[in-house]
Amino acid sequence: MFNNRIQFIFGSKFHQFCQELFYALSGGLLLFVALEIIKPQIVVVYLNLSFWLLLWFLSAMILLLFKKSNK
Amino acid sequence: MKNLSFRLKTRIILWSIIILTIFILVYLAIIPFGKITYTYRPSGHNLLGGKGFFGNFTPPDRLDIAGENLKVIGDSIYFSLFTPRRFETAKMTIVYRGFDYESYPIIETGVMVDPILHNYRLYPVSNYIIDRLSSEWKKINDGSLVLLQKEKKYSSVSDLLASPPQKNELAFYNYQYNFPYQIDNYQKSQEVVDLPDLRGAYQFYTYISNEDLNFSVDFLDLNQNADQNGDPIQIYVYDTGKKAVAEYSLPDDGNKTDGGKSTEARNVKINIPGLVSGVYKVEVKVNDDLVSQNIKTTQGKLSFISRVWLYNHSSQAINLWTDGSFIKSRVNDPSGVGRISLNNNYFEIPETYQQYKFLFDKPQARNSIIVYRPETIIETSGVFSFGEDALINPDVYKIDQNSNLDKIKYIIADYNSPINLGIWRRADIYLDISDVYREKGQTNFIISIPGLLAENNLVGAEIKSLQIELTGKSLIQKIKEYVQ
Repeated sequence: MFNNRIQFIFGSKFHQFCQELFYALSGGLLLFVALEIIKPQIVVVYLNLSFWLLLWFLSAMILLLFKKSNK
Repeated sequence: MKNLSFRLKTRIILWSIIILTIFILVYLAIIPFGKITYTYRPSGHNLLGGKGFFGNFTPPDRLDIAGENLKVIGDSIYFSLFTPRRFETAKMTIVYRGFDYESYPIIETGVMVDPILHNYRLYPVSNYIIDRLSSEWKKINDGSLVLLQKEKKYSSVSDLLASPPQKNELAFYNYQYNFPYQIDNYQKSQEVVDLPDLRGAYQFYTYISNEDLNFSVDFLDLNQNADQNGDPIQIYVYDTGKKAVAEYSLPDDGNKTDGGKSTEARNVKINIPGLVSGVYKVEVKVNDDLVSQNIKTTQGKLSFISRVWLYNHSSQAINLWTDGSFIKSRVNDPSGVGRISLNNNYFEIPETYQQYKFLFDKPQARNSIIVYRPETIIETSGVFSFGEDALINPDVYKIDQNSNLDKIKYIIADYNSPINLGIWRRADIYLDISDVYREKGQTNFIISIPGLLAENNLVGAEIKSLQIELTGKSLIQKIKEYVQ
């Protein structure tokens, strides 16, 4: 159903954007966790990492849809 | 940029955002210029979903958070503030309104300085008594101090301190000054006095004149509460100038559990010879797991300051004396209710673990109290003693919500009146936070409206906004200190 509305074309600009978004969110998450380990609470007082994790999870799901449409 | 591929452009933009966010977070963690402001709005939300710097306001039964603003319905309320580093001073700005300034004339705020005794260093937000008298009496501003006189006699605070009036004519608010205290015709005592068992921390004044300071106590660890710091014992002896003259300490006895099995009592003996005549203050800093038993002293004058927790498991009647005009009492005894006698007027304490306030009918310089039940906490605005002749109070009368100002002619207060903003008032309070207790970056604050009881369900004050501006050492200053 989802596939009918959005074209998950492998290698498209949207695919490239989703890939880059996934890498940036992953890198950001690692850096935030590292910051939290170095200085506890300094990230969570400003940002809700659950939202970040959710966004990261969604980007990963979209990437999987691209992989599925490529098969 | 034109020749870059779409993938590379996206990568640069996204990673720039991430790196910028990291830089901002690092900057906010270091606070290189040593100055930052945190604002609490009762109805506000954090845009990015972070949990914010202000912890929850507690306890919930003393607060009404249903409306747009925070309503205080019980004394006291607490909150914490997360700070990424230590600061020296805090300027707290509260926009608030009171609802009954006559009944609840004092609003104070403070910061926790001692986690064992749960002591807060208090600062005035609003004092309606001082505000009212400022327009009725002669007022002199002397630096940060205010001198109020019923009849004008002094031209400055230093003038008053140099030739003070009679003790019962003078009152202080948020101000401390120790006048020389001597007892005429004082006879030192040789008799060893046994005092009732006390639980938790306490402080007392004693008078010394050509004698040793002599005090012996056995500390029994009840092991009822688990505390990661254990149950250490610290005893400090201060002279009239608040200078510590002796210090005693015992570490935890090795049992940090809360199994309820008492460990063997440990004795601490204080014997300090050669002290200069005058009043000395002894501070026993222990947590509520420790009971002071077999308290023995030869001091003829010995008065406990403000609060004692009587650990009276034999349920014998304990006689005390106080110079206070009221008693706050709480019975911590699950087996039943309490009874207390104030100048031979009997009052029931109907429920355990609830604080009740009783007023002396006609308060005298020395008022009698008899406590019957085990584990009763009693508090007053003055001091307590276990013998009528032992009562001394070197402190100048302090203004509180129950103050009787009939005899008072002079008041010295370190206080600035809040600014009127229509129905709201704004108070700027400067707090010294250089030595406060911090745990995991959290500093604990209190807002107190003395006398406001949650069970009456009356709103004492409504807080519209609260802002804390913190100032500390800059990064350059810290580096300079480190290098030197």
